[in-house]
Amino acid sequence: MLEIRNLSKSFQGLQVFSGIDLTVEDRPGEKSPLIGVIGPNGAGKTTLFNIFTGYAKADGGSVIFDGKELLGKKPHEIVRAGLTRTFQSTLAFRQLTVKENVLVAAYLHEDFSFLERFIYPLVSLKLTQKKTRDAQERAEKVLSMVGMLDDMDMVSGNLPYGKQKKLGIAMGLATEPKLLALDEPAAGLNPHETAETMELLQEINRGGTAVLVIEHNMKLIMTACERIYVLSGGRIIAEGLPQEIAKNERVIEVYLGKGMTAHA
Amino acid sequence: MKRTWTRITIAVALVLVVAFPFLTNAYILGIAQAMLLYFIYAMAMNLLMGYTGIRSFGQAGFWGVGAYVTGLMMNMHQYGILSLLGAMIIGAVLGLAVGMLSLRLQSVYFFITTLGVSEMLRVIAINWMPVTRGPMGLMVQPTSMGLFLGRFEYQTQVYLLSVLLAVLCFLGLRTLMRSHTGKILMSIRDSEPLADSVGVNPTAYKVFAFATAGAITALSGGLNAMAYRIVVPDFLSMQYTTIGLLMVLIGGSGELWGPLFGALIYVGFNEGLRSIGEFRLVIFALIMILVVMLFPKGLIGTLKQQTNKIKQRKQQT
Repeated sequence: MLEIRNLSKSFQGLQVFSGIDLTVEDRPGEKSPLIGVIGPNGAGKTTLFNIFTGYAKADGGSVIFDGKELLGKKPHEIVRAGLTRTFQSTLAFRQLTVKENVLVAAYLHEDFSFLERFIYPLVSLKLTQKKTRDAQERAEKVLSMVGMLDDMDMVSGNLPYGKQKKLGIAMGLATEPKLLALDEPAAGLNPHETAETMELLQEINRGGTAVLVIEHNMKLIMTACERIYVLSGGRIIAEGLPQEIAKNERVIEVYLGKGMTAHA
Repeated sequence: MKRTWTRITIAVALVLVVAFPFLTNAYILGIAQAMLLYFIYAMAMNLLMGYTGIRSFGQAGFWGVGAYVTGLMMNMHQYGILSLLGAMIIGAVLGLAVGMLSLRLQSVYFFITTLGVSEMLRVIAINWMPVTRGPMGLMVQPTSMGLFLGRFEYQTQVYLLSVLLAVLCFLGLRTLMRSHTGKILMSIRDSEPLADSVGVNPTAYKVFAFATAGAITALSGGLNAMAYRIVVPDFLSMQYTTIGLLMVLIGGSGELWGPLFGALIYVGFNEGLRSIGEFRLVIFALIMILVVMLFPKGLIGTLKQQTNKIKQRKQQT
């Protein structure tokens, strides 16, 4: 599904990473993959996400998604190809309601024509009623899945942080991606919210969406992910099953600190 | 029930507005005319700034171009309504061209580009003597507005056409902001990168908003030319952009009724302070600073905020 090959990036002469290879397999008829990416702060995880989702340019390498090169494409084109990402800090459209936030994402698959986009909305809402109603139904379905139906009329900027994070995931889901890339979905959440997020990721994954997640919360990564990549010093230093990563001495040394062990 | 009363109030207000020319003198009608055309201008500015988050520093360019196109077409004995349509088309085309060239730029470069375009147009207006008559200004010959309005006096015709167009613009923008496109525009205002991440092409929607606002601003400038029958290069100056910004800030950025109150207050103050001459611009600047500092949500936004607070308190008790 996603094949990142020999990807490199530097900022003003400072190498962020080089030779990055990462694969999210396409497994038709089988369980979709749920892959984790971990690494210390500054390892370049978010930069990696920014590159393959069109928010930053790579110096070299390739990113193939469903057989098509993504490098050079704009973020919205990449979403249309089936790869959606969430952000660590910008979570929602703050002045819109929860439902409107998800709706904006749900409009993606309605395939509005030029007239429906730019002319009919100035004349009458009835002219696009069917498509907007379809989008509303899908938005409500997603909100029900993430348990936010009761909040749908709230202005998203007034939501507690945990719910804003969940809304970010709901918006990603509403684009109906093949692969959902989540940038630290549990950062800043309390243990109860983290557990909920973990369950949600697994539910999304069971529903047939592949998930690629950057996270610092080791419990979430070790429990939810089937395979983990460890990024450090500008390289992938380890890749494997959670149990293997937890025992990998190099990972323990650079990421967890000497003398530490992780719980698989 | 509440909705019915609101509709009745709006209908009565509309009847009074339409009957106004037959109840008052030419001076007061001139002020009401200014309020209407500035209301239209403020709606365009609100679409850009309040709903889409685009801060254009060159909106006067569209205002002035609309005024010149209308004036020139009227001098060619075209119906008023056709002259305004011409102004809107030119405004939209100019908006498309400038938008496509500049809306990909980062905000500061965008400010400079829009300001540069309006200044360039002002210089053209000053120097293209055979067409614009330069600094002397273009005198506009009155013609019939067309439609059913021909039977009335010229000033009444322009006024009634302005009412009709203001209502149409208001309804059009209200429909737009309730539609999927309106929600997408507001999402771009809140966070462009986030909108991009859920499949929205921000540039396409921003160009649409810029062209639509260009057409509406040109319409407003055209009505100004029609009503006061003179067009001068100063219409393309930064002063008119500032007026648009001021009205949106006073009324409430991103509020449907904000432009109406912004225009009423601006024109009211402008007339009230006419005796102090150019010094009133200083007072406007002070008002702008005070509004931004004390009421960042503008009149309607602040009223809404206070009403919500009262409702919440009632619910709690």
